[in-house]
Amino acid sequence: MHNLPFIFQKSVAFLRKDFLNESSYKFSFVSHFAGILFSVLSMFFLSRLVGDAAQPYLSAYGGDYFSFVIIGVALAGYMQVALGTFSGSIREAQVTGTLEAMVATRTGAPVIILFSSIYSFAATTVRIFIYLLFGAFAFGLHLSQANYAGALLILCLTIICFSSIGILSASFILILKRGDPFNWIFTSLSWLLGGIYYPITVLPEWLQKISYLFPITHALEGIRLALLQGYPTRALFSSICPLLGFGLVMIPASIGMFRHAIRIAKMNGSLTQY
Amino acid sequence: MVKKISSIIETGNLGKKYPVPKGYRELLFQPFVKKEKTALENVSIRVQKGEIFGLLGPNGSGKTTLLKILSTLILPTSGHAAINGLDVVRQEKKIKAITGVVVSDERSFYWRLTGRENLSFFATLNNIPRAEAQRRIQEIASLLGFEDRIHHRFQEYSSGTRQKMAIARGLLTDPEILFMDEPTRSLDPAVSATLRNFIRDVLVRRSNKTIFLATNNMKEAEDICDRFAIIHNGIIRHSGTILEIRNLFQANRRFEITVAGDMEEIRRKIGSSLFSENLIHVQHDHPFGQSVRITLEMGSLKQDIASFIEWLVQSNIKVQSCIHRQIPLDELFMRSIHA
Ligand SMILES: Nc1ncnc2c1ncn2[C@@H]1O[C@H](COP(=O)(O)OP(=O)(O)O)[C@@H](O)[C@H]1O
Ligand SMILES: [Mg+2]
Repeated sequence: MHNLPFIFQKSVAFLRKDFLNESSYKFSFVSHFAGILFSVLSMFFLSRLVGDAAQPYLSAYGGDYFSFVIIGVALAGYMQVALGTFSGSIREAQVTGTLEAMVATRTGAPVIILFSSIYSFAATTVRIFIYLLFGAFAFGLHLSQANYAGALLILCLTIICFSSIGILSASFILILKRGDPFNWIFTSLSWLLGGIYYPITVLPEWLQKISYLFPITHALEGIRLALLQGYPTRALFSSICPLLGFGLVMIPASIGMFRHAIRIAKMNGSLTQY
Repeated sequence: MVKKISSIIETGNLGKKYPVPKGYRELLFQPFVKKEKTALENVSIRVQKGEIFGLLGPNGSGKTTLLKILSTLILPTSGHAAINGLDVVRQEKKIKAITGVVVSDERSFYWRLTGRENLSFFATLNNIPRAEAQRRIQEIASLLGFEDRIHHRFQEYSSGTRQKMAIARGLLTDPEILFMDEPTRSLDPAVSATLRNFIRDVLVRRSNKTIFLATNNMKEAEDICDRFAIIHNGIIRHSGTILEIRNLFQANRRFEITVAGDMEEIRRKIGSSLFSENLIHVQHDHPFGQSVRITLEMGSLKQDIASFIEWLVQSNIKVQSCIHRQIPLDELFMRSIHA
């Protein structure tokens, strides 16, 4: 990453541009936040249905299904954004024709792809924060003994891991324009096996083993233990290490992939095509 | 090896082939056969510092491809190209530090943001500190005459203002070399003229920039370019100054002679004379006029026109006037393409 002094300025410029753009669609901007209330409410009623029946499966996380699922859905929200925002912004830049204009500037491809996600992550953080506030104050999400620092660390690692997959997917989109098979499979399996709505202990044993190949499984395990049971960070290593390893390998690989994809696009003359 | 950099832009046997996407049928039956479309072939040009170089050619002739290869947005498939001695494939970053691009694609802005917001964003991506960017945006907008609309959203702009925005973005970094792709496309004649004056007087004469300009407009090339190259089907047909290209086609040997008499008879007489090969056409001067205008082009010898007039006199055709005309440039252009 060259021109380090401008890195901060550039991150602000991307954030500002995307905020101005998104907030100019006023109805969409507002309805986005209204959606949160409905989501929390449906989790609440779902947990009334499940009631104490789920307790045996949930004892490791404190036994309360509402707390279990709301954290699962919140983290899955980050996963969805990280997986989708990179390819989404590349696709949008292709369609609006701004991709070539950005590539023509003195900013390199890695900065362009990384910073095009800043707004989405910021907006998601605000959304999830409101989401959890609702959960805590209106519906009894118990965070009294939470290890926030540990949870934050796991959250950051989670974002990094999923971002690498997201950037990989953006590289596909840059060349194929549409239909990235990889992202689709990864997302579907993460929802199925990752333990978002149910703990993975309900899965057959061989599926549980497969589920540990997906970062979402480790992320959810760690963040639930940190927030609901207040595990100290030391005790979270078994979740942190796989995430760290995954990120260390995948981030450089995915950025390299993206660079390569830009090269192919320059070969095909397709930066302006969609 | 001592190598003097005499040209600021230089290409040698530059070629570009685009891969052509295959249909489902071809994917199935010929999965390993490559399909390609040649966009440039053996392009060798040189542009000197401080000149306006025009790349003139009809649509689809490869202008944009060449311009984008020079500005590192498209990779060539053969040959080489250098900007100020820097290689377009391997020294992309250094080239970007001295060049600016003006594309004529109005899709390349954020339509829901204002002109100023757009320019600020691209200024930051070009490593211009915020305060300086604001100053430059103001300066360029007033230079191009759209500072009163800079707070409006891009989508509200007329195509003239959109084009000016594209030029403004190219000028933000105050680059030494500016690539412009059809800068006056979709502008009305008055705005085009203002813009051409701006390019010639402000950018080149006053700031000594080098401009590489692609256009399909002959008049534009004649008006502002010091030198130009004519490109067709990816091949450079001719290059030089306007004068050189005129001479190449013996362009200053066209004459219009007005005579009195019957048009059909005159046409027949010339047709069976020595001068039949020189004749372009015979027409009435006006739709209902009495005079006949003979247009013809003479070969290399100056005496030719004198001998033709002599022949007219001997044939009892009364000569009223004789005018030396230049061949219109677009006609030259067509000839150069079909030569
Ligand atoms: N990305 C591309 N893929 C395939 N063919 C292309 C691509 N871009 C341009 N071409 C083809 O290359 C030729 C030259 O195009 P271009 O450089 O855009 O010409 P001009 O700018 O003079 O109109 C055209 O025949 C065009 O169809
Ligand atoms: Mg073009």
